[in-house]
Formats: sequence, C-alpha cells, structure tokens
Amino acid sequence: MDTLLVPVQILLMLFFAPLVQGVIKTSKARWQMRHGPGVLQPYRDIAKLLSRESVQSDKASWIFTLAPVVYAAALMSAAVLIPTISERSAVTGIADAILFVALLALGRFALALAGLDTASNFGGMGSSREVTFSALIEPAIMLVIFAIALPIGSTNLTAMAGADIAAVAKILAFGALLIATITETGRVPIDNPDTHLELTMIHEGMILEYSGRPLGILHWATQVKQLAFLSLLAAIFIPWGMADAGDHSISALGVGLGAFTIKVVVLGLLLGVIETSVAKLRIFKAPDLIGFASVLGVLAVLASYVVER
Amino acid sequence: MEEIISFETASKAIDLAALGLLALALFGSIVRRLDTAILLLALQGVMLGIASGAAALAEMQWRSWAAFIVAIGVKAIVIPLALYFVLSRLSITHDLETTISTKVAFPIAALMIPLSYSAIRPFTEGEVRAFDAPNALPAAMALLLLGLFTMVIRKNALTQVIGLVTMENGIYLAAVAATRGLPFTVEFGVAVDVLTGVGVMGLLMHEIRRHNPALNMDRMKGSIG
Amino acid sequence: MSGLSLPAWTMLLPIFGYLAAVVAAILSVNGKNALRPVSSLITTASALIGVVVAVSALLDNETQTLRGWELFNGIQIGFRLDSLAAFFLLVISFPAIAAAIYGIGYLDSAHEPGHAAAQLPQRAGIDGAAGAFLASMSLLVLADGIFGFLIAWEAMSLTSFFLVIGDGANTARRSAAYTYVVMTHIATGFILFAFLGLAQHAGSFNFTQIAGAAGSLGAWQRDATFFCALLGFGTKAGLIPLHIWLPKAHPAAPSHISALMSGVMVKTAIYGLIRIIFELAGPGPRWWGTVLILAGIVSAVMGILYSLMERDLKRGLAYSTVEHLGIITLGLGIATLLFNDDRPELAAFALFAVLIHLLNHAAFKSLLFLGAGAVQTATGTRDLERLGGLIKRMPRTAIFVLIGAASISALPPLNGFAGEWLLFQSLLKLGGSDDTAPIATLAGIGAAALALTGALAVACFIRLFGIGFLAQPRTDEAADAHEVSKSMQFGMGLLATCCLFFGIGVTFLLRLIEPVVAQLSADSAPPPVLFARGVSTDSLQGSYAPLFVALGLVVVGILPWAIARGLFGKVGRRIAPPWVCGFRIETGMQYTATAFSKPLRLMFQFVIRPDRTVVIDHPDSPYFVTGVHYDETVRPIYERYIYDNLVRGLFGFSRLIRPMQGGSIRAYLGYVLVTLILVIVLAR
Repeated sequence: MDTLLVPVQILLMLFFAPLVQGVIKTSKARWQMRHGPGVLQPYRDIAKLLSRESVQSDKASWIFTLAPVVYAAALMSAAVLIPTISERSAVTGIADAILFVALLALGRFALALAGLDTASNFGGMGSSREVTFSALIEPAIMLVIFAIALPIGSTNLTAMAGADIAAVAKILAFGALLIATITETGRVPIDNPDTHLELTMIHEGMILEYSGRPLGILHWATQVKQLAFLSLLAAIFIPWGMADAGDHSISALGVGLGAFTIKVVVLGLLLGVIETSVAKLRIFKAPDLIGFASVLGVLAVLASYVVER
Repeated sequence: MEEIISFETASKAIDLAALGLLALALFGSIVRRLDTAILLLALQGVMLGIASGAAALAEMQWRSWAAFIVAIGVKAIVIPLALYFVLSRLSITHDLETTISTKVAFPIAALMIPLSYSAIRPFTEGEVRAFDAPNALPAAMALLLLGLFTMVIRKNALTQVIGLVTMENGIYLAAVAATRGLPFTVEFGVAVDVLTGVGVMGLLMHEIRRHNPALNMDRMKGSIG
Repeated sequence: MSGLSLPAWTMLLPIFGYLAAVVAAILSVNGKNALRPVSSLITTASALIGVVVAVSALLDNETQTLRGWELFNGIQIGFRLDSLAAFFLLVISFPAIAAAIYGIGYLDSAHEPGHAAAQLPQRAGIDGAAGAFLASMSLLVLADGIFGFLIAWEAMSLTSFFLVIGDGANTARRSAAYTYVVMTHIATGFILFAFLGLAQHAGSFNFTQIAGAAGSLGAWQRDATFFCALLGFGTKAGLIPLHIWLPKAHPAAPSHISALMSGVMVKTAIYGLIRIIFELAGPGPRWWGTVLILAGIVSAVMGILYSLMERDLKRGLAYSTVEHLGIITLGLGIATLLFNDDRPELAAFALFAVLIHLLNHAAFKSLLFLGAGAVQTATGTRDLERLGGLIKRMPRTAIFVLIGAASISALPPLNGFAGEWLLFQSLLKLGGSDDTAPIATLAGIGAAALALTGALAVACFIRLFGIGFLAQPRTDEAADAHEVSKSMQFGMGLLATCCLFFGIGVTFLLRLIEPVVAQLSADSAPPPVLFARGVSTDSLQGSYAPLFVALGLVVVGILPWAIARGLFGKVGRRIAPPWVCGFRIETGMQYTATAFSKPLRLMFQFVIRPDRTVVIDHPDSPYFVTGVHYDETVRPIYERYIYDNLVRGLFGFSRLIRPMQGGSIRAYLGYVLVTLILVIVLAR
C-alpha cells in the first residue's frame, strides 16, 4: 500500500499545483480590488498550451528540446519526496532533504542551459540571474535543513516533518524558508511573476523562447515546484493531520488530504498577502533580503541548541 | 726498515717546525715587500720539509718520503719560484695599498693564535696523537686562519695566492702531524689541486696584468657583470 | 568478492611499465612516424595494470610490503601496498588510461592558430615526461619510508615542471613554471621539516616504525609537524593562499597533462596529509580539524568565485580544482576533528565522504580538462568569449563535456552528488557528535558554505557549457570547429562512462573503500551500514539510492507528457528564427561569459574587488560621445594583499643587503673568515 501512495502523491502534486497557483492569483486580485481570472484559470491555461504546436528557434540544439523533459522530471521527483497526506510512502527511505535540493538544482541546470541555447539575450539574462539567486539562497535553505536536522540527526524528510525542536528555532527557520520559497518561486519582493518584462525576468527570461506543449509542461512543472515548497513548509512546520506511518485506512488518508489542502491553501494565501503588501526589490538589493534569510538560518541553528526544547 | 731517528725526536722536530710556521705565517700577513713575502712563503715550505722529513725518518715509509719530497719540491721551490716569476713581470715591488694599517692588522692576526689553541684543545686532550707534538694542530689551525686573514686584508692578487698557499700548508702540517706521515692519496690530491690553482691564478694574473698592471683586486670590481 | 591475490612484486609493475614508456619515448625521437603512439600505448597498458593491481589489493584487504634496497646508514627504500596506497594508486591510474589514449590524438593536432602539431622530438619529450610523471606518482603512494616518498615527490615536481615549461619558448609558460617550481620547493621544505622531525623522534625513516612511535610524540612536536605538513601539503593541494601556482601552471601544460595534474597530482598532497594526520603523527588536538575545516571553506568559496570570473577555459577549471580541494580539505577536517575527538566511527563516515569525493573529482575534472583540450584543438582558442555553437559542430565532445559539467555540479544521479551528499551527512554527524552550540554552528556554517559552493559551481559550469557550446559561434574560429580525433573522443568517453558508473554504482565504490577507512580509523567500529540499494546510515536516517533516483527520474519525467498526449494527442513542432524584439538575430546579441557572471561579481564584490575603468571619448562636447572604453579586471585579492606585499618586501630586503654582494672577492673571504671564527668560538 505504501507503494500505491507514490503515484497517488504524484497525481496529487500534478493536479493540485495549478489550483494553488489559482488561489494565489485570485487572492492577490481580490486584495487589489480586482475580480481576478478565477481559481481554475491556470488549468485552462495549461490545457490550452498543451494542445498547441510549439515553435523552436533554429539556433537551438537538442538541449532546448530535452530541457523541459529534464526540468519536469527533476521537479516532479522532488515533489514526490515530501510527505503530504501520509507520513510514510514507498519513497520515504530515500526522501532526503538534500536530495530534494539537488533535484531542484538539476531542473535549474537544464533550464538555464536552455535559456542560453536560444542565442537571444533574454534567455542569457534569465539564466544568469536564476543561477545567481539560487546560489545566494541555497546556503539559507541548507541552514534551515540543518537547523531541523542537526538535533534529530537525520535529513530524512519524514523524520524532519514535525521534528521536536525548540519553538524559537522553528519560527526562525520558518522565516528563512519562507523567504527561500519566495525566492525560488520568483514572487514579489524578489521577482514579479505576473509580468514578462526583462526587468523582472528571472524565470520568465529563461523560458521566453518556449511555446506550445513544452511551455505548458514548463508552467505546470513550475507550479509543482511552488506546491512542493509550500508542502515542505507545511510538512516541517505544521505537520498535523498527516496519516501515521502504516495507517492506510481511507479515513486517515482522507483526513490527511483535507489537512494538506487547507495547509497549502492557507500558505498560498499568505504568499498572496505578502506579494500584495510589499514592493518588489531592486534586483541588486535582493541579496540583502537573502542575506537576512541566511542570518535567520544561522540563528535557527544556534537556537535549537541554546534554547531548551 | 727501522727508523733512523726516534719517535720522540721526530715529534720534537715537528713541534718546532710548527712553531716556526706559525711565526712565518704571522709575519707574512703583515709584510709589505712582495719579495719578502715570497721568501717567507718559501721558508714555510722549508719548515714543512723539516716536519715531513722528521716524520719520514721516524716512519721510514715511502709515503712519508713522498710527502717530504712534495713539501720541499713544491712548497719550498716550485711555488715560490713561480711567484718570483710573476713578481718580476709586475710593475710594483711593494704592496702599497692595504685595507687596514699594520698597527691594526697585527693584533688581529696575533689574536688568531690563542683562538686556534683554545679551539683545538678540547679535541686533543686525552687522545693519542700520531706524533707527540702539541703545537702542531693548533699551529695548523692558526695557519688556516692566518692565510684566510691575509686573503681578506690584502688587495694584491699575489698576496692572495700567498694566503691560499699558507692555508694549504696548515692542512699539510696537520696531516703530517696527525697521521705519521701522510695519507698519500689525500695529500697528493690536495697538492695537485693547489698546484693547479696556482697555475690558473698565474695565467689569470697574466691576463689581468694587461689591464691592471698593479694587479689591484679592488679595481677588478668594475669588471664584474 | 575478493581480489586476485596478486604477489607483492606486482605492485611495481605499473612503474616499470611507465619507465618502459619513457624509454620508448626516448627511442622514438628519431624514429618513424608510425612509432609515435607506442609510448602512449605502453603508458595506457601500465595504467590499466595499475587499476587492476589497485582494485585487487583493495578487495584482498591485505597489506603487502616489498623490501627494497639499502642505501647507506640503514636507510632503506622499500615499498608498501596497504589499502590507502591501493586506493590512491587507483585514483592515479584510471585517469591515466584516458589521458594517455587522449594524448595520442591530442599531440597529433595543432592547438594554436598558425602553429603546427608537436614535432617528434617535442612529442617524445612530452610522452617521456608524462611516463616519468606517472611513475613518480605511483612510487609516491607505494613508498614505505621517508626517503622513497621524498625522492618520488621531487621527481613528480620536476617532471611536471618540464611538462609545464615545454620548450621554454613561451614567456607565459616560463613564468608559470617558475612560480610552480618555487612554490613546490617551499612546500617540499616544509614537508621535509615535518618528516624529519618524525623520523628523529622514531629513530627510523620507515613509515611503519614512525607510526608505531606516534603515540609518544610530544605535544608541541606533534603540532609543529601538523603545521609544517599543512603548509607543505597545502601548497601542493592548492589551498588558498598557497595556491598561486595552480591557476598558472595547470593551464600551461598540454591538456592531458593538465588533466593529470588537476585530477591526480593535487590528490597526492591529500595522501600525504592523511598519512600524517591519521597514521604518522597520531591523534592530535581539536584545533587541527577546525583549521582544516576553515581552510577548506575559504578555499572552496574563493576558488569557485574566481573560477566564475575567468575567461580562459583551463584557468577556470584550475580554480575549480582549488574549490574541490577545498571541499576535500573540509571533509578531511571533519574526519580529523572527529578522529581526534575519539569518535572513530563518525570519523570513518567522513573519511568515506572524502575518499569518494576525491575519486569522483579525479574522474570529472580530468574529463573536463580533456574537453577543454578538445575545444582548443578544434578552435585554436581557450577564451570562452570566442567560442559558442560547438554543440552542433562537435556533438560527441559536447555530450562528454556536458556529463562532466553535470557531474561537477553535483547533480543527481551522477557521481558528484554522491560525494557531496556524504559530506553533508558528515557535517550532520559532526554537529550531532557534540551537543554544544559551537560545533553545531560550525557544522551549520560548513553546510551553508558547501551549499554555496555547490550552487556557484552549478552557475560556473552552466556558464562554461552554455557560453562555450550552445547558441551561436562568436568568432570564425568557433564556426570552423570540427569534431576531434577518435582517440581523443575515446579518452573523454571513457571518463564520462566512469562518471556515470561512479554515480549509479556508489555502493560498489564504498565497498572498495571500506578497507581503507577501516585501516585509517584503526581499531574502530565497522563502517556504516550499506544497503544494497544505495548509501545509507540507518532506517529513517538520510539515505540515498542513486539507481532508484535515476529510474524515478525517468518514470516521473514521462508522466506529464503522457498525460498531455493522452488528453490532447500529438502536436507539431516548427523551426523558426528566435524572437529578439523584431530585430534580426546577430551573434553579438548573445550573452557573454563576462555578462553571465556579472550579477555574482557585483554581489560578491567585497570579496573579489574588481578594478573597473570607464573611459568616455567626447572630443567636441560631453553630449556627443564618440566612444566608450570599458575595462574590468579581476585581480585576485590574495595576490594584491598578500603576495604583492611579500614580493615587495623581499625585493626591498634584497636591495638592502645588496651591498654585501658588492663583487669584492675580499669581502666574500672576509665573510668566510668571520664565519669560521664564529664557528670555532661557538663550537667549543
């Protein structure tokens, strides 16, 4: 039964991702006193793209064609590692936080190369900035992982979920990981995901040349990444509601599913609120925020040892 | 072959020769007239001849005799003659330019002697020396230092050669006194070395003389690259 | 699985083989052209034998010694093949196979525009020196005593010096070679101090006996030995700031030699450090490990930062070597700290990480250098800004370099990730070993630094591969490139396969390394539990199963496309020019390597401190600009603040004492006299 949970989780991630995206966009719209396109709009967008023909640059090589495949594979594999409905599934043995981060890097690698492959300057700029920001935020993410993992002695995601560490440490780590989520998903104040201007093109710059089905897959995978981060936040900091290991009863899984839905929706709304409340940072001021996240991470590590549990 | 003279006699002879060498070297470092300097060097050779001759007479081995012949032949005759030859071609007779005056040089040179004695003393106490000549080794050390000292304070190439040969005489004396004659190959090698050195220097002096008739070493500084 | 139980003398076979290659090279100087590859082929065979001997020794798990011959005064030159030596022999030999085969084709081709391929005498020199180089490195790890070690060390330095300087005609190569030889001899001096101190204490030059006496070393002598070893081996390993020779020397040599220098030679320094820390100078105080960790962090971060700023392909790779040696030193520091803290089982884990990463780095760094050489052969340039579009013109080389770049970026499931994962786990264990805040913070900062370097490495190699191989050619030389010869492809392909195999087959590698770790952490608990599926420590402890990850990626990757196909059927794909705001695309529109790293240069400028000059020409009026000149140079800070001042001080001091060497013979004699008198006075 543990094994069945894996495809369930994959499908869960695939089909929840656009929903979460829709929730964030609609909530932002409502905050901004607009009506918004509707919570289900991302589904329609992806469906539209998946059915369209794609146009590829004549300067590009097989890297361009292969990148969306690798990107999607990496991000989806990363997403499947996180405990969502149940504490344990068939992949729990290898669900390692560091592997999670590395799979994200794999996806980024593929996409950044594709950005350079198009021989246009937008792609290059997008790749350059994407690798810069991820380079800056990775230490912060690693510090958060270590803040949780050091006291319990393991980087396994299930072990980290609901780990018993000092509340202060958890708050600090949550702050750091939230900033990391904002950076990785390219939301305000790091980047504005609603525009496609080169001033804000980190992610959008890299995929500018894509169209049709590959673009649909890329958008889908990016939304899965967003959901993965939100699930990570949920799993580590608000783990209640997850079915216990080995408990495969429908009621437990149902409760787990419900809890998961509520958690990611709430976190998505939180992201929306943040996006609406603050202005986007100038791009070379962004490292200050990321540095702040690293400091929070270090403090979290310290706190989990200095403060009594 | 049994010895012609006794061990004690030979030791005394060597001892006296050592003292003589000491005196000759001391004066040789401050003397100004070049022909006198060469004469003193020749006399050093004679002293060495006495020493090695006594050793030979006491040991009656062929290598001791060879040492004697080398001492007399090379050091008392050949080298001084060569130096006289060079001297005759030079334009000067006196080593006029010195770095430090005789007043200062003499005490310093004299100081080298007690220094050598005190340096050698710990090595010779309680040891069986080849010949019972307590002055030999310290004198040898002093000859070394005096020869080097001569080379430092004199500007003329000729006196430099004299200093070098003095140093070698010191080593020779030590070898004769300490080893009942001479380890033949060693000394032979050293002697040939020095002979060659002197020969080379002679050639060089010939060449240098063309530009530097007084053979003033300080003037040669400029030709260094 | 056990090894072949080869007799002891077989350990010397590879060395004899390499020497035979040297002889073949010498003999081929005046021979026919057909004889050209003979020396390289003999080297390949010897390296292959080396791999076999090494793997067999590791599987057999028995130490074999060979009595050598006695020199004088009881100084023996003997050989010992224990597990550590066998492992390093493996690290030396397998890149050598690839490099030797690659060298056949590489030396056949011209590398600079206008220059011809290496002529026979030159080629014989390179082949011969390469053979001697490999022989000396193999001897180094087999040496049973200080003398053998030092002789092999010196031989290694000299042969590599000759390989770097080439025929001495190129000024840049000469300067690089001189810097190299000076630094390496300073290093040898320190190593000499360290070893001789140990030998004097133990009363013997033999490693086994010194190891036996390690327990009774005095505290300050132990520390002094470590310090000297750190400086000496650290220079050879390229720890900042002792690494200045590395970015100059490694690019200057022929590419397959650069591969060996970066992939293998620097590892011999780690070998020396491991011997001293774990065997010869025994357990020491805590600060050893902390110093190593901090030195490793500094090297790693600065190394990769400077690599990102480089335009020269090979120099960028050299800085990347500095980075990885920093990472290895970090791991070694963790192991040392735990070992000195009397936690041998945790130290063992860290040692696994260090050794795996060492092996992997040999694989992918050599591969990348061979790739750089291929690029240079095909285009005649090493400058990233002049390349581009090579993926279509050199398709196979591009794939190999891509595998190398992905491996070095630590992407799962390739081999680089396995090493980094193990290192992160070691940091975790370090933090957990001691329930205090300082150690935990050290572990956390170490992890942050490791993550930073990993992410920067990803950036660096995306830049390298993306700018160099993708998009359009930036110059005609790049446009005229063509695929390189078969032997070069084979060499690169061999290493690429190694990267793939080492990545998926990590478990097998760990089993090979087990005896080494057991030997080093002495009488300790057995090494961590290894699951059949992958590397792991315990259940619900972090674990990693590379095969699963690879399969998972494939399966999961197909899914979205399958869904799309199922829902919407097949769609077409059109090829068209890219969109650049309506302009016609030109090669100048592409991103450049300098531009790619600009954001990082800006954000790390407090470290890098680039010098920027902008000159604006406006002859008539400030409003009519006729030209703008922009110059940005990155002068490494250690050069600016440390070495420049050091050199200035040295020259100043030399000027001060110059009058002493006035040329006056009598002055020199005077020095001799004074010294002699002093000696007499003092020796009484």
